Amino acid sequence: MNIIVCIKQVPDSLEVRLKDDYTLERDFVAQVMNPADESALEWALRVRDRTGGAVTALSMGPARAEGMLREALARGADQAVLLTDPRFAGADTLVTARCLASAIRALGGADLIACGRRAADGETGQVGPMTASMLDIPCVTNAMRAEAAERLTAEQLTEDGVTVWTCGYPALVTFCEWSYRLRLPTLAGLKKARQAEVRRLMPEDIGLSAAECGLKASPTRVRHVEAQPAGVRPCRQVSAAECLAALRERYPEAGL
Amino acid sequence: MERRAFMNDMVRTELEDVVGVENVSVAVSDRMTYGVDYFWIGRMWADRGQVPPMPDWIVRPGSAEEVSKILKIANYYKIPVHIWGGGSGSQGGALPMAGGIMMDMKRMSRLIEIDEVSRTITAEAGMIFQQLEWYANERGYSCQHIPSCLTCGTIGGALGHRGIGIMSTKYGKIDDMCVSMEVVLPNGDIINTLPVPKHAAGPDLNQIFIGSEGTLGVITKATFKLFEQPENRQFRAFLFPDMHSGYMAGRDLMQKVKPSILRFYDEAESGSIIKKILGFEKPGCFMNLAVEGIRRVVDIEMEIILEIARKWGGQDLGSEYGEKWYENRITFFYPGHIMDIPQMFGTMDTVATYANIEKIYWAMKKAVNENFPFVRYISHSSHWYEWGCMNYTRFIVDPKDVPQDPEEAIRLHNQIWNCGVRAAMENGGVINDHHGIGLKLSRLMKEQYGPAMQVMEGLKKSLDPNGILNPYKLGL
Amino acid sequence: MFSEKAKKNADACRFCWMCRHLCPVQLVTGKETNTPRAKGLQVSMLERGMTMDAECARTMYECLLCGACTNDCATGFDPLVFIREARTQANVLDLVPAEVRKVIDRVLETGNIYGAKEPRVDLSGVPETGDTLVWLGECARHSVPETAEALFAVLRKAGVPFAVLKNEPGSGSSLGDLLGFVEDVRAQAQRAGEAIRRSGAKRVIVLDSYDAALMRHEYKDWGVELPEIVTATACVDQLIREGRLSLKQTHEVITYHDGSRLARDLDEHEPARAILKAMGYEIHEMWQNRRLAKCCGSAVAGQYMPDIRLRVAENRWNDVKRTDAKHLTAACPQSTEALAATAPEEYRYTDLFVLVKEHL
Repeated sequence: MNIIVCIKQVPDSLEVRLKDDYTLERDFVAQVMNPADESALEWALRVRDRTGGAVTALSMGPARAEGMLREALARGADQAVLLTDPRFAGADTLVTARCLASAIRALGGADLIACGRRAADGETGQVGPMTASMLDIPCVTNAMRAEAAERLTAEQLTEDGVTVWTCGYPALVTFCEWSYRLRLPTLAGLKKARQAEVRRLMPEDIGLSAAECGLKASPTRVRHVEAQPAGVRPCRQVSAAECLAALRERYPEAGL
Repeated sequence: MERRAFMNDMVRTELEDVVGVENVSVAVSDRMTYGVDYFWIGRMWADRGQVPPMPDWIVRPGSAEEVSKILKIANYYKIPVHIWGGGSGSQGGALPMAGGIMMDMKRMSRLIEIDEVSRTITAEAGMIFQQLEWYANERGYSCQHIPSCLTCGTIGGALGHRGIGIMSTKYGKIDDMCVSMEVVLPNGDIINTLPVPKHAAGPDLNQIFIGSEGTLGVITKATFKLFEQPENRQFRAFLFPDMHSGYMAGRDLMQKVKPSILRFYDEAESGSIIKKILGFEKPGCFMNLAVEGIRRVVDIEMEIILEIARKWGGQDLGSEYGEKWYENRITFFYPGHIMDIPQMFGTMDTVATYANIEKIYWAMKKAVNENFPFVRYISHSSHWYEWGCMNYTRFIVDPKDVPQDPEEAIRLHNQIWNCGVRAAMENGGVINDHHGIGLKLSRLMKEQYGPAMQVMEGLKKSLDPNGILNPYKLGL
Repeated sequence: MFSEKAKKNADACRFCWMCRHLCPVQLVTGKETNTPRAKGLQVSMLERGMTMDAECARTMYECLLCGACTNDCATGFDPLVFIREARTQANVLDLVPAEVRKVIDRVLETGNIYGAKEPRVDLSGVPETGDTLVWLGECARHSVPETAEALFAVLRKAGVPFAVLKNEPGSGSSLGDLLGFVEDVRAQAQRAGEAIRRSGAKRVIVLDSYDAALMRHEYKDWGVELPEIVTATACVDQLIREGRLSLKQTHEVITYHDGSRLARDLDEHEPARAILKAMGYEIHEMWQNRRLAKCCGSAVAGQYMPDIRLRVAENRWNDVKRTDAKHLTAACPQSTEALAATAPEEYRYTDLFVLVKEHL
């Protein structure tokens, strides 16, 4: 099976610095592979090991993301492609999905697209389903387990349990963090990754104009981001007996 | 076919003959580790992937005799010799700017003697200073030389640049603490300064070699004073209404007591400290001090200090800040806290009499702020004497204002330094208090000394006629 | 081609000198390259266009991975991350020094750094399955079997039944130090985990702290499931507290060397000391003890850089000489291997478990 894995490079949790336009200041912070994308990559590698074919790691980001793609190659991916160009920068989820879908089409499509369910720096969870929609293929989100046999079967994590879905190919699956533990690089893989070429693509290469990419093309804007003050829980725990008194105190205007 | 001359290999054989094959290295990866010390330009250069200054041979002597033989070889071939201890100097003093030989002194790290009768400790100069301090601690003493580079630099390094520690106001600078030294002269002669530092036998040899930054000889062994650990240490902090009252209070209390720690901050630096302590902003200049020794004496000293502070309008802020600061004093120097690449920064320390120090503070601030308005400027005074005190002025340039081109960056860096240091010198300040001259300030030495420079040049010429020891440093 | 994590640590360490007073290798060689800073600078320059040369690869192996530097860093940086990855790079680029290559080949061929086909420990009568498994590690199995046999004697005296695997696989500890943390090492860890599972053990007593540290930390990250892991020191300490061992008393002065993985990686200092006190020993500490302990050398280092390991061990004995103790003990087989061979005249070294056995 040929599988394309969409990988995003995200800041290493707590050190995020935001620029004035609320996009991320990437330069001074350690960047890591998005944890949920690691699961997607591991799953893709396992499917490839079993059925043959090729795994392509695809990412959109600054040139720095090339290092992450080489790591993906060292862990067993067969090819790596990076959408990188200043015109791509600052894309919201819709535009990101548009770019990924266009890239996937430009690469000739695949039997399976594997993504992380959400990125650690944005957590919208929108890009996977949007990309599937643009490619007009079925999509299972929040997968804890998936199996690629005659048909694709995936277990989706929900609030109250698990829903099992099946569909045909091509299909897109988004994986939960730590659903599959990503293997370490092998010495052979590292050797290969050193020499390998990471294909760099620009908007023209994937059939998009500058007007369709980046911050300018994004219909949504981030208006405000704030960090949750660590260790502060805004909720207060009360017993049934205390309930009325607590409500009166918190909402005096309600006249309880 | 690689085209290379083989003269380097001829010299290498001679050097290996002296120290052993395993103690000479010419590998590129080895050599480039000596291209960066704490000098901003060297770090910036390496960060931008430029080739660092490199020696041609790294040699690791194990004894003064080996140092002597190496210097004789260097003199014969007229090869420059640089000296490296911990390589943690901030002025580029250890950088191998002239190529040639780099003598890494760290094999010479033996403890020679602890003389408990005389309260002295003797060790080879390549020992990291923290090791020396620990040997003293094991017996219940301390050298009381506690710089931020305690764990980084060697004994020879501290002596070479006339270093200072946070306790210097009470216990002295390194030049006060050094009793005697063994030095290898550029011609290979091994000499000892007198066994004690106080005498009437002519000019003091200790003070000629201390602060000579590897230009007049190689320090191979040194003896230091040992102090008993103090029974009690008390901290106190104050908020003075302005710089003047703080400086005057400091001057007055230096006449009556010798605090071990005395740190006084300008308004800019005080701002954030005060906010942390009081929980709100209040203008003024912050002072943090400590007295230590026998408890009964310390109690009295603290009373005297409180009286003097009151006289000059200082608000008493208690002891908590000082204690916390002391616990965390080193944390600042680890990566993540300390200023570093990609910022541009420098510490333009200067020292002057009380009559001049305030003038200098304002003059430097004005000169730097006017010529380089994008620069942040903070200052504090942390080492005090009866006649005056030093001033640590730090300038910080945000990464966005640092030129991309490395050579442009060097130019800006040097211009800021020229501006600040000249403002200090013009108002009676000295070119540097305790970081040394190194490469960074070498070009300003003649301006500082005028005709007095010939005394040092004379020494240099007579001791090192071939000019092989640490070229381009110290203005020599 | 280093990971982001390695690059971040290297870029932090390359310009910082704060931990250099602690490196046990630097203290004996005096080489600038035997400091985390120089290694960090080299890695940062490798990422900026410098090519790794043979000397750089050798530099990366001239390190005991003892963690003294990591422990010192007030802002949480870890030179071991980029040092291990640099070793991986050396392997990828075929720049591994010949002496190290020999040891790697031995491990790949025989499963241990000694190239031994059979363990030297007397395992007669010891079952291979049971609730409690004792994990010996390569050093005890092949180099200092008396430490393992002493532990057996102590467990038997305390009435604790135990199993030992005749063909105990490597835990991945020495391979991880030789190759860095690559998939080949994780595969080794998985084999070890499998062997433990097959033994049916609910609890594993680990004699070698290098194995214990890897099992406690990396195995979890690598998805290798394990039952309860307990160090041999904690186990014996517990047995003494439960009154299951009565020990002959002494009044001798002794000093104790904290093994680096035990003291820093596992943050364990008191069980060994409690064991000594339970025998009546008066412990006179070396200046650098517990988390500050100066490493005396590892078994892997002893194989590929025996001269440096010897000098590092001798330097630790110099610390002993500045106490008034004439007797040294330590709880890890790798410490025993290094220190027993370098005891100066008039000084004695006894492995902690051998000591307990002597006091049974």
